[in-house]
Amino acid sequence: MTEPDPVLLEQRYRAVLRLLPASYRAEREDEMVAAFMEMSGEVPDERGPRPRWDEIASVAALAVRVRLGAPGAEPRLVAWGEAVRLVALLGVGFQALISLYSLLSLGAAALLVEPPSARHIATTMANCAWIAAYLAVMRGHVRRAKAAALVGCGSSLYVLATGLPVEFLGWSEAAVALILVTTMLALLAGFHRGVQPARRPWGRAVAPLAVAVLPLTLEAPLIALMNAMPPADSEGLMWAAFWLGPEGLAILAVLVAGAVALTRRRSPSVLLALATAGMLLAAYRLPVGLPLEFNQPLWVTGVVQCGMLAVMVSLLLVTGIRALPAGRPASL
Amino acid sequence: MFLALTALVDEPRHGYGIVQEVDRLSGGRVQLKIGSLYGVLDRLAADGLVGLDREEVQQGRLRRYYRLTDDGARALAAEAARLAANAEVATARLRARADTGPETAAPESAPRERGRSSTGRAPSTRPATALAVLACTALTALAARAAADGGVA
Repeated sequence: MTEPDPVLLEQRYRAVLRLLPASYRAEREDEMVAAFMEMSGEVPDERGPRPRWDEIASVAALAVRVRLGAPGAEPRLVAWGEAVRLVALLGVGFQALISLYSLLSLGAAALLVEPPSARHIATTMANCAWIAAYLAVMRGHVRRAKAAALVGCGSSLYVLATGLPVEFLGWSEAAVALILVTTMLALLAGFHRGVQPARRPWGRAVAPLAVAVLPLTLEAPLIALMNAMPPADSEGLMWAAFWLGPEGLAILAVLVAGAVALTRRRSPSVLLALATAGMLLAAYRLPVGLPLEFNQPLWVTGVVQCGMLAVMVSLLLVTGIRALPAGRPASL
Repeated sequence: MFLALTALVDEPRHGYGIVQEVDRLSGGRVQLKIGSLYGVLDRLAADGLVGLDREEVQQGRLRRYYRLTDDGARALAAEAARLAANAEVATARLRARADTGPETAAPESAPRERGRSSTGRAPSTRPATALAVLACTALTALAARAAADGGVA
């Protein structure tokens, strides 16, 4: 057997293949380099040959898929991929619930208070693309889910960026944008071609949307009471309001789900997905740039919620990472 | 996946061999990138549709040859039959349309030069015909393989 002289192009292909996980490279690198070199032909180093951009992009896409549990990936990466898909499901589900809650609030306000503006109606309806995305991903229609989520995400980011004057945009808006972008990326990357999405029955897909009614039924009497009481007396109710809104209930849900997942020793993917959801919610609730005297109930509730989430996220992360399967080389 | 499986019907091939065969089978329309090829091979291997045939070292470089498994042949036959049935339906409808005369469907449209599309470009191969040809190629190759193996693929 004669070893070929190392050539610049081969070295560069090997550099590109470093995008792939080490376990996958150990199995495939030599074979892939051979295929690349056959495809390119023997190009003299003097010409300074480089891998083509479309080939680099195809290796990068393969690297993302393998790192997120495509066939051929080691069990540890399969578990990470499952965690990312769960983050996507939780994120899309949360956005769908927020959209449905906004739609119901809009309807209630139109009936009881005053007709909303055309812009308010248009953005609320556009945000409902999240509901379509949620139903599509639960039914296993990944492409439709991604397309609908892109519409929903664009609409939500537009509302976020234009809802307040630029000088008032701050930490909480950045945190909401982070939640939206993380959800979108998890959906786009997690549900890749190597994944066979689960097709859940309609009943299981639709039933969770009923939760959107919960914050409305809890908030409505609270708001009615606050409006009926003198402002000085209604401050006590504000403390409850920050727990009973959609974000407050989402935090409670993550805390309860985290405790259940820890006690029932659920899979590391579930623990890591809940930890990610907890971190994103904590980032949103963190009272950054908000003076205590501005709104004491909001500030103190935010600190308490972040503290509880920090404890739960730490437990979930430590337990989840320790429970991940040990890394081992992939095999065909 | 269909083309990659079809490329392995007549003989085991290595990575770049599959790329070349897919290019040939598709008339140059599908040019697999190496990253995409190995993603496809991983999926096919995970589903048991292809398997490792042998390894060779050519000029100091590793070549792994992949072969179609019996499950792969069955899956390809099913997919080829499905595509052929779709193509048959399309062909039958096109034949019926040609028999009744397509001009009756659009009496108000301006007469066009025969054999040219509305954009003025030369017509490309109809998708139905292309699918039919591809499916028939796959079925023929599978039948030849079955005959060579002395069994049913």
